[in-house]
Amino acid sequence: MNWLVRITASLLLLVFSSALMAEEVEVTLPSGNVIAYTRYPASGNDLLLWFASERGLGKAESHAALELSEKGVEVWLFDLASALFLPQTPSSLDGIQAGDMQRLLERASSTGARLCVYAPSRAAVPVLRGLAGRPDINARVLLMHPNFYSRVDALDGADYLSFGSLKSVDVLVLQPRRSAATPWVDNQVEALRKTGANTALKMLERLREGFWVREDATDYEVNQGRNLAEHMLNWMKGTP
Amino acid sequence: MMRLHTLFFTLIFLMASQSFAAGGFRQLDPVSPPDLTLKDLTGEIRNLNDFKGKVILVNFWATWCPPCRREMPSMQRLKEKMSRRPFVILGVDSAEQREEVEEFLNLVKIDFPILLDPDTAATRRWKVFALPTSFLVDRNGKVRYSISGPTEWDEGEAVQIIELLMQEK
Repeated sequence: MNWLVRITASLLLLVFSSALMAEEVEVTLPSGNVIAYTRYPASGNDLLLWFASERGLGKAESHAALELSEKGVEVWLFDLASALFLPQTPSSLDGIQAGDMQRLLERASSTGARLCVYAPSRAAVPVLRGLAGRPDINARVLLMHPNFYSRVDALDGADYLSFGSLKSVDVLVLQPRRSAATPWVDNQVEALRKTGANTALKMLERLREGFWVREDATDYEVNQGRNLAEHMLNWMKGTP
Repeated sequence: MMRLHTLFFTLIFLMASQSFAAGGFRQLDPVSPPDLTLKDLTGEIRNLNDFKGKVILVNFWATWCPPCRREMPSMQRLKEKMSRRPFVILGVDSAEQREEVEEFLNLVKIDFPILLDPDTAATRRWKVFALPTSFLVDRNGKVRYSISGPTEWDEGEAVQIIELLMQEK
């Protein structure tokens, strides 16, 4: 029985020490806005900038950030909509200035770590705007069911936002199969390739958009949500 | 006095048509629909031309889409309400196999035709970017309204628009 108490205590210590290591960091942006993000430090040479979608952060994302830091990947977790007091709508994130994003990316780049940026849904827009025309910032970008439409009309068609040159950027588009965007994902990939981004696509079978936060998640989605950190490591490395 | 009367009713009509748009329905310039030739669950090939002279509700959906599932019962009630009228509903399941649809239909009883679009060719031809997305085709075979997102099909503006389209020659 004694050993059980010891192991439990050690595990609790491990969890709490990692959680305590996470810190809130404030940055003043060129626009004058001051935003806070959560930094999960790690000893490795990988830095992941994790941006929440326009719907904000879910618990699964904070858990995954913590897990990643324990596995040696430092994570900076951003919820731009909350930090800037923006409404939780896709267009809110469109208003974030490219200069502000560049300040965050420069700060990350200056650490010398291998940089990866993760952005779900409409968070793709500020991230790609920030990276456009900045060949000095070397980053791998993971776009989870990205939404960068400028216009969508049923029966008529859709247009995509233009970002300028993304020649120095490697993009992996992560597309849940069970999504209304799936029939159009090749067009999105093509639009990214036109910017010069080296773009690949990974289809996520049996999953829906936001599977890690859905209230109506299937058992499979719940399991995949729990393994978000493990998936992220694979996506960062480019392995299946 | 007569002119005032006319102006009053014109304003009421304009406000009513604006309220249709405000509720989520998008009024379109009448346009010929893209091709819609698909197999139904029995394997029979169906085409929009099979329903010429009727108002057609074309509803793109999928079983994994909660808002699509939510609006299905109201579509069934609408179908029953309009049973003797020149009106038909065609559900188009996007990107799924027959077995997945049949499993869902064991839970939700609907008896209007469900067409299968497993390779999303029709979904792409109709330029459907969200699920559910529905279209109302008038009796002359022109698409007149679209709506992206769910609605209560058996009440309110949905019924009003369908009634108006059925009254047209």
